[in-house]
Formats: sequence, C-alpha cells, structure tokens
Amino acid sequence: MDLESVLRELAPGLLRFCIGTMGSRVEGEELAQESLAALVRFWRRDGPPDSPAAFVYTVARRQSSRFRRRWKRFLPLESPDAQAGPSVNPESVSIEKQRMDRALVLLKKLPRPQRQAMLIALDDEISVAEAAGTLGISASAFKMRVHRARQCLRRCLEENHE
Amino acid sequence: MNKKKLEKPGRETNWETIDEWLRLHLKASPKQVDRVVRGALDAERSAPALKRIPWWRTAVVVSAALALLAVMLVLFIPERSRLPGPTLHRNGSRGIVATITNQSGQVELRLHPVPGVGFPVDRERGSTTEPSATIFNQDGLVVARVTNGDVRYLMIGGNL
Repeated sequence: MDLESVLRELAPGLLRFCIGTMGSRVEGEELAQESLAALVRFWRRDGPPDSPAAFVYTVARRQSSRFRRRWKRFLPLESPDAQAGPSVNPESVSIEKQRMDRALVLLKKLPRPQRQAMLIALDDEISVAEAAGTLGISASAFKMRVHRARQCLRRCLEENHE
Repeated sequence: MNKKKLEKPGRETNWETIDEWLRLHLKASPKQVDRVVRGALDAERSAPALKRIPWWRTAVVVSAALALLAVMLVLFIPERSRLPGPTLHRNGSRGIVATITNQSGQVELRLHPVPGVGFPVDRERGSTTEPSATIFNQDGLVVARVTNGDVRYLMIGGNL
C-alpha cells in the first residue's frame, strides 16, 4: 500500500467533507490538507492505520472547530482557483463555483452533526461502522442522522424548485 | 457505503439522487486534489522532526520537580512557623491553660488571671526561656499574649 496513492484516493471524499463542514472552499482545503498531513506523520512514524479513511475523517472532524476559530481571525481570501492561469476556462470555473456555493448554502441548513454524517455517507470508501465510529456514535444513530439529513435536503431542494 | 441499507424499506426515496446531486456539486477538481496531496506531503517533509517524549521521561521530570519543591519547603520555611498556634482553655483545677506546641513538643502554660495587670506565666513544664505568655483579664474576657520564639500570638478566650 503506497502512501501517496492512498492520499490520492482519500482526498476527493475528504475535500468534500471538509468543504461541506467548513462551508468554504479555502477553509475546507486547508482542513483537508492538515488532516492528510496528520495521516502522513502517523504513517511514517507508526505505519499505516487500520482504516486510513476513518483516521482522516476523525482528524478532520476534531480539527474543524479549531479551524473555525482560527479562520475567524483572518479576512476571507480568494480561492486559489479563482486566480488560475490562462489554461483554465473561466466560464467552467465560474459554473463549478456556483454549483458548490449552492450546495454549501443548502448544507448550511442542516445541523452540524447531520451535515457531517451526510458528508461522510457520500464516501463509498468508508463503511457504516467506521463512519459511525468517526463521529463517535452508534451505527443506528449514524443511519438515522443520514436519513434525517436526506429528508431535510430533499425538502429544501423541492422548495427551491417550486 | 451501502446505500440500500440506509433507505427505509417500502418507501420510494430519492436518496441516490440527493447523494449524486451533492457529489456533483461538491466535487473536488483534480487540481484541488493534487494541491492538497502535495501540500500534505510537503508540510510533513518541511516540518521539524518532532519526537514524541516517552511517558516515563515525563514522569521522571515531574517527580524530580516535586521532590525538589518538597526539599525547598523543608529548607526554607522555618520549622516554628509550621507549628500550630496555641490554644487557650480552662483545665479543671489548673485554671486557664495555654497549650503551645514548640519544637520540643507540646507545652502547657498555666496562666494566673489577675484583673488589670499582665502577669508572668507559671511554667510547669517546658524550657525556661520559651514559650512565654502574659494574661490579662479585662472584665471577664481573658486575653493572653503568647510568645513562641519569634512568633507572637494574641489569644482571646471568652468565659473561660
């Protein structure tokens, strides 16, 4: 098992979780990088953990509150993607940004525990038991949170369509 | 994640759609993924190599600090000031007695209350020089000034 390939596998799901939890791309990216760096440190010191996915999600969840406090001290910065070079199509960047912003607005309507459960549930790499362990709850409680989050999101989406 | 297990049986749901909608909207670009992975690897490389301090070393340092503190307390705090203060009480036929603890042990001093004037103490036991006490009887209130080395106490005992 190669460390870099594991990081590349975990990064998309973790980025989604961190961006969704923090409600911002820049902050989410920073949190994801910090969580992956924690995994790299652990891996090089003690070898690979039992479940790298559960490890990074746990770190990200625990660090999210600290990050939120830390980011309050800073002024909002533009996303590095917004300063992309000429090779990136600005229209597609703008569309993706709008999409993400819309999803983040919707996710902010969920209570934080439900939001985190929903975001972890999107990752196919992690099992229900591991996801529940990451949030420190039982598997049935995790399923219930995800179910409620989906119900709430469906309601919000339907309201937006009407 | 097994989505089938998350659905409630017998109900038509659009969980899959909501999940896909979120996945699509929160999709990280390959560039973003690359940036985060590179950042994590570089951050670890550039960070100073921190070694975890073993628990026994922490225990040794804390114990040594506590032992040092105890030695300092014993050396620098005078023994007399660590002794309890005197007590004043009536002791049957012996009259009013001040009990004082000095370095050699507990000493009882019998006090002769004579109104208005301070009187020397009748030493029954203990050293000849200290402790010493003077008693005043002010309208039924017994006031005693007791000296135990450098430390002086003013004791007030009502209705003794």
